[in-house]
Amino acid sequence: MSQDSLRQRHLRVLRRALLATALAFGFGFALAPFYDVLCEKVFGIRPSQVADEVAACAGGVVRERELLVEFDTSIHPDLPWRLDAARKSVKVHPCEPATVVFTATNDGRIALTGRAIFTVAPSEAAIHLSKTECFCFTEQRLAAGESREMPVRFVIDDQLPADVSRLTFRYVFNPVDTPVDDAGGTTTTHS
Amino acid sequence: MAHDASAHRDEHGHDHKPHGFVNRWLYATNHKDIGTMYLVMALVMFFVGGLMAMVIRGELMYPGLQLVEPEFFNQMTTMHALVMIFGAVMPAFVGLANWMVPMMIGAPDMALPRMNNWSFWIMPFAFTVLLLPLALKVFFGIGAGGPAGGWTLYPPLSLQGGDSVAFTIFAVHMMGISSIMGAINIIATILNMRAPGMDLLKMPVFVWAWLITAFLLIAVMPVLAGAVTMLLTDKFFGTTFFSASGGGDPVMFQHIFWFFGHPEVYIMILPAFGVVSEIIPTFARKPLFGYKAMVYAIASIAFLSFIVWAHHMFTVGIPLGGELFFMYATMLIAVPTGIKVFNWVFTMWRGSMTFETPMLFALGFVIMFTIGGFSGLMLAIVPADFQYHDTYFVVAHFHYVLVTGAVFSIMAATYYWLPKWSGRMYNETLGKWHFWLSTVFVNLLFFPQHFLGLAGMPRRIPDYNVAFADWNLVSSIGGFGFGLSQLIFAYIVWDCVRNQSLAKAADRVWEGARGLEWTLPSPAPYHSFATPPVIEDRMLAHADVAH
Repeated sequence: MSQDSLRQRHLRVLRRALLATALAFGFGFALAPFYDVLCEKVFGIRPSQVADEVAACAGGVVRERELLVEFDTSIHPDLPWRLDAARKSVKVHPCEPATVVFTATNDGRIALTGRAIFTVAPSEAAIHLSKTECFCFTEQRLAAGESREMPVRFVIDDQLPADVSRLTFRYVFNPVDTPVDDAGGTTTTHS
Repeated sequence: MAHDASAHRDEHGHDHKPHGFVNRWLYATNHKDIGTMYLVMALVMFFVGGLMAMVIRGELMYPGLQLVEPEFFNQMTTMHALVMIFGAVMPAFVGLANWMVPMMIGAPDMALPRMNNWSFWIMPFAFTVLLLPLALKVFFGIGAGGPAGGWTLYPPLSLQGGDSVAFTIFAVHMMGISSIMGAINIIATILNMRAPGMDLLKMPVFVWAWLITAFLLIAVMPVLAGAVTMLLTDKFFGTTFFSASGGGDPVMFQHIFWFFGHPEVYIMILPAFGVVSEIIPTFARKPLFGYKAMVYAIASIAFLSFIVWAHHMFTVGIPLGGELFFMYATMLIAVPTGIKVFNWVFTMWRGSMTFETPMLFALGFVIMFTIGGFSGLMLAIVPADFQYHDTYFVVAHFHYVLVTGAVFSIMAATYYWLPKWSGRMYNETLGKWHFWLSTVFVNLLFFPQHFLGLAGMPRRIPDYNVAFADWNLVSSIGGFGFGLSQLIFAYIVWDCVRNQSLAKAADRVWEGARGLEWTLPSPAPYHSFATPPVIEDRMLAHADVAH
C-alpha cells in the first residue's frame, strides 16, 4: 500500500486516541458530581447531610414511633469515681426532648478532674442525635467526697433510619491531668 | 549468521546510524535507540528507588529510630513507590515494547517516531521535577524535602505537604503525557504496521499484552491526571473537590485514584505475562499451550480491572452491597489469571526443558507471582481485609506481584533478548548466580512480611512494637542481599554490551526460539524489516496459528 494511506491510518489512530484521552480526562472530573448522585440515589448515603438537618423535626413529635434509649457508664481505673444514671433506660419519641440526670461521685481523698467521652450505638444514629446539655461538653472537677447531679438533655430527630429502634448512650470518664481548652468538644458527639 | 540476513546488510554496506551524541540520542527516532534509552533510564531509576528501599529497610532493621527522622522515612516510602512504579517498571516495559514490538510484527520502526522521541525525552525532565525537592534537601539542606504523604497522594494528608506537592503533581502530569503518547504509538504500530500474514490472532502474546496495556494506559492515565489536577486546585486555587468544608469529600479522591490505580497494576503486569509467554515455550521447546485462551484471558483481566477498584478501600465505609460486588468481582480475576498460570504449566508439561537464566526468571515469576496472586485473593475477602488493611500483609502481597512478578519478568526479558540486542552472549554463570541470589534474598525479604502483617504491624511506620523485631531483622537482611544482588545484574548487562571478547550470539539465540525477531541477525541491524518479511506459521511460537 502507498505511504500516504499508511500516514492517514496513523493519523486516524492518533486522532481517536487523543479523543479517548480527552474523554478519559473529562471522565475523571465528571466523577465528582457523579459521585454525589451515586451516593445519594443508589446507595442512600447523603454526603451533604447538613442541609437535611434543617428539615428534620419540621413535623413535630412523632407519637407513633417509640425509641428505647439505654445508658451505659464506666470509669477509667485511675479515677476513683462513680457515675450513675437516674434511670437505666428511657423511652422517647422522635423529636421529643428528653432529660436524664446523671450523678457523679468522687470517692477519692483528693479533688480530681475528669472528662467524659461519649459514644452512641448504632453509629448511624450519631447524626440524628442532638444534645443541648451534657456533662461531657466540659471537664468536671469534683472535690474529695463531692457528688454532683448533671442533667443530659437530648433529642433524636425523625430522620433516624427506620430499622433503628434501640440506642445506647455510653459515657466513659477519663482522668484529666492538665486541664485542656474547654472550647473543643469531644470528638464523637454531634451536639 | 543467516545468509539472507547478511546479504541484506551488505546491500547497505553500513547501518545509517546518525553520528554524534546529540544526533544519535537527543534526536533519536530509531525504535531500538529509544528502547535502549528507556531501558537504561529504568535501570538507573531501579537503583535510585532501590537505594530508598535500603534506607527503609535500614530504619526498620531494629525497633526504635536509629537512622532517619520519621518525616524523612515517610518521604522514602513515598518516593520509593513513585520512582519504582513510574520510573523503573513502566519505562522498562515501554523500552521492551519499543525494542521488540516492531521486530516481532515485522515492522521497520514505530508508527510515530518523532512522538516516540518526545515520549522518552519528557521522562528525564519529569523525574528531575519529581526528585528535585528531595535532592535539594538531602544534598544541600534546602527546603523540607520530597512528598511524604504516600504514593497514593490521599488528601487531606498529601495536601499538607509543602511545595513538594506541586512538584509531584507536575511530575505526574509529565509522566502521564509520556505514557499516553507511548501507548498511542504502540497502538498505531500494532494496528497499522503488521507485516502481511501477521493477523491479529497470530501476533506473539507479548505484542497482544502490550496492545491491551496501551488501551488501559489511554483509559486511565488521564483519570490520574484529572485527580492530581483536582489536588492541585484544592491546594493552590481554593477549590474543595476533596475538602468537606466546601462540600467535597476526601473519599471521592480514593475512588478516582483507584479507578486509575487498579488498571495501573495490570499495566505493570500484563506485559510481564507477555514476556513469560514468550520465554516458556522457547525453553520448554513446545508451542504455547492455549494461545487464544491466553489472549482472551489478558483481555478479560483488562476488562475486570475497571470494576474492582474499591477493594483498595473496603474500610472507608462502603455499603454492604458495594463491598460484596467488589469482593466477588475481584475474586473473578482469579479465573483468567488461573487460566494463564495453568497454560504456562501445560506449556512446560512434557517439554524438553532447559534452565538458562531467562527460563529461571520466568519459572520464578510463575511460582512467586502466583504466591502474590493468592495473597491478593485473601485481601479480596472483605471481612478478612478489615484485618489485613494497611498492614505489612499488603506490602508483602504487592511486592510479590511487582518484584517477583513484574521486575523478575523484566530481568527474564533482558536475559532473553540481550544477546539479540548486543550480538554477544552474556555471562551465563553470573546470570545463574544473579537469579539464585535474587530469589533466595527476595523471599527472605518479603515472605516474613506476611507474618508481620498478620500479627498486626502497620504499613508506613518508621518504628514498631518490639514484638515485630525478629522478622523485621530477617526482612532487612533479605533486603540488603537482594539490593546487592542487583549489582551483579548491572555488571552482566554492562559486560555483555561492552566486552568484545564474549562469544558471538547466533541469530536464533536460543535453540527453541520462535518468532520474527530471531530471523534477524544478532545484533539486530539498526534498520530492520525495511521490506516486510514473508511470514510462515512455523516461525511463530504458538500452536493455534493454523486456523
